[in-house]
Amino acid sequence: MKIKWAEKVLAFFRDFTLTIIVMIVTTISGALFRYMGFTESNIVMIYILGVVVAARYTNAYQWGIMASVLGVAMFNYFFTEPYFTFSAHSREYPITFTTMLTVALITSALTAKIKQEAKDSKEKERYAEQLYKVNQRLLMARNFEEIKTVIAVSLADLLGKSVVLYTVNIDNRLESPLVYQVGEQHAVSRFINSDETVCANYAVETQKKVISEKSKLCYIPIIGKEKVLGVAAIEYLIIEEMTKELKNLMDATVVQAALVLEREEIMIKQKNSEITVQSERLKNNMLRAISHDIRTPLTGIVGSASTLLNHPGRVNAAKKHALLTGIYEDAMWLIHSVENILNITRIDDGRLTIHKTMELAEEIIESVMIQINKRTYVQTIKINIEETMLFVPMDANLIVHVLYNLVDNALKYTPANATIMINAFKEETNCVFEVSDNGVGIAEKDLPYIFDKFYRASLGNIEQRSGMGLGLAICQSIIDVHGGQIKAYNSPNGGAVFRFTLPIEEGEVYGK
Amino acid sequence: MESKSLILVVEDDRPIRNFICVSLETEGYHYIETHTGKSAISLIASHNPDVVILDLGLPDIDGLEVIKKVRDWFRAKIIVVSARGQEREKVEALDAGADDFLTKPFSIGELMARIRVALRHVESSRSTDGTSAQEFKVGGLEIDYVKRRVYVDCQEVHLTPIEYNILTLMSQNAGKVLTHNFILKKIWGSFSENDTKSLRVFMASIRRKLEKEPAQPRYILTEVGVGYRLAEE
Repeated sequence: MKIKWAEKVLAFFRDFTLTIIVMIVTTISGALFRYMGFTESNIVMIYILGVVVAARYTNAYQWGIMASVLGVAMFNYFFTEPYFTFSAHSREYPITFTTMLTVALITSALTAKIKQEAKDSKEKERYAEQLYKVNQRLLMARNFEEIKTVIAVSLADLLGKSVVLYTVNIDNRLESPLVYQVGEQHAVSRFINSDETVCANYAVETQKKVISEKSKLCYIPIIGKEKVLGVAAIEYLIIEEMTKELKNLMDATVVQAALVLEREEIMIKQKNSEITVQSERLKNNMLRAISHDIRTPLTGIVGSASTLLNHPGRVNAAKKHALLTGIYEDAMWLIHSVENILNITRIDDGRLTIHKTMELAEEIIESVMIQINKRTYVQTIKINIEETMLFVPMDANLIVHVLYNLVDNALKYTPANATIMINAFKEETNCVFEVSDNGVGIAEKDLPYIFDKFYRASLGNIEQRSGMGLGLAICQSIIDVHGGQIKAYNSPNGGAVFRFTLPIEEGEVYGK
Repeated sequence: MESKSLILVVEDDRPIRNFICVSLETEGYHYIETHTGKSAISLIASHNPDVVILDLGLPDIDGLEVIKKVRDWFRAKIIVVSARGQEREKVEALDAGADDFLTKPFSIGELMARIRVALRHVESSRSTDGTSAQEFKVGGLEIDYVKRRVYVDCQEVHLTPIEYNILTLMSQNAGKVLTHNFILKKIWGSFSENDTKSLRVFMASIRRKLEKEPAQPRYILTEVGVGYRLAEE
């Protein structure tokens, strides 16, 4: 306030001096005209010019009036008989003075008005430009957080005041606000506390401006088509004191903010529904595939069991054993498949929260081998762990699942005399796990699709039932949430290689 | 064996209960069965079984509750049965006093092996009565508690004091899963989450000294996410 007052005084002196100087210069020019023998009317004209100049270059219309009065007075004093007095002899002078004063007043008023209009239009242009800028920045904002920041910064820039911006989420609740302070920095608790939340909520409910006595924030609701989208709280904002243009500009910014927030909310809703549709479709596909694949082993189990139940005496020991083995194997296959299905639904739901702990690579491989060794296989498995203490952050059970799937695949797709290698080693900041074999490798046409859901390799041991084509898709999802990479390729020496990496450095990607 | 061992089966799924009971019968054990946690507690109190096979997911009260309620006065062995993916529950149950666990789906062979381990522990705790054994032997692994020496296939293995303490602790609980927290508490007295890493380093080092092929160990078995077990057979 002090500064403003000083500014006013300064402007007053500037305008005052300017007016006096202009009038003195005019009088000297008048004297020059008189000396050169010009008529009085020219001197009148030069005074009117002086008034116009004074009105043009001073900041308030009073100075034009003062210049007019001063001009007439000086003309009277210096240039009418008797000279250097305020009296005039000729009867024409009163008319001359009146006309001169009227013309001077009108001209100065007009000049002042033109100037004001120019100033107004300049201001309007500035506002329009600002609004355009705000608009531009809002359009550039790529996500919700950016939009929030742009709104808060724009309002703060526009008004030169601190802004606290609340947004309303999809569940119609206020989210924790964004504080953007201008000038003197306060503790955030001044703007965010239970009292202020009450004010913000009140503004949302009533859709009206609310002023907080404590923090001096003025809460302005950002109203969209259907609901209140947020609240912009501005410090020390007194709407009655604002110029009409500034208020319009502020309102326009708030409207812009509402539009953009609304757009963003619609987009999020749309995205969510798209995701729902997609996962719905996937679920249907999966159900179809699963019900088909499950029916086969179930038929086997039911058939074998009913044979054993209905003909207890007639089935010989060897046949009985074969039937029971069939039941056992089918059931084991179902167990493994159900495990895969469970994992993939957890991953696709986005519900899979991975719990990372530091694990030793050799312990992980050991657990996989315990599971693998429970079944019968004819191939040779070799394990090679390069480093003694290879600690890797991971969700142990999920990685065991991945490795089990890879080894299981290798056993499924390689001939009896094959050797399967499990390697673990460190490479830069990653731990690499590799499952390779010296079998026939992966068919070129299968390679690009091998990690797709429900894709099955065209070649396999015909004797064995193949999986549901989910195993590798799950492996990929699991490695993805760990922030690693998985790939499959054919080794130049023949045979397939499945390789995945896990970052050893903590903190890169955490469970989504 | 004059007095047959008594086993209590607590499982709410009838087919699973059936096959467990049938297998127990064919192996010559006595058994009693129930499908609720509350009746399990009263059966434990009235019959004092040697081994309890306890499913964690029961219709009335959680299996974990049953363990907490009976552990103070019930000395016999509790084998917990849980579904895959319930690692945390498993660890909780073990820390609450369960002796072993089985993950569904399990085979009868596994179940019987665990029951044998449990019964052997019941017997040895009855017979020795405080006087501790002088040595431990499984496969080629030998521990001489008196001289504090360890042999593998008659070759002496040099362990650091902490490594020896860990191995002794495991051998005294051979066949049983020891959780990370349990081992840390017993060896170092206290523990924090970060210490499990140093425990693993010790385990890996012991393993390197005892095992021919550390990734396919013969003696020290890892239970991922839970702890370690020393093989007993």
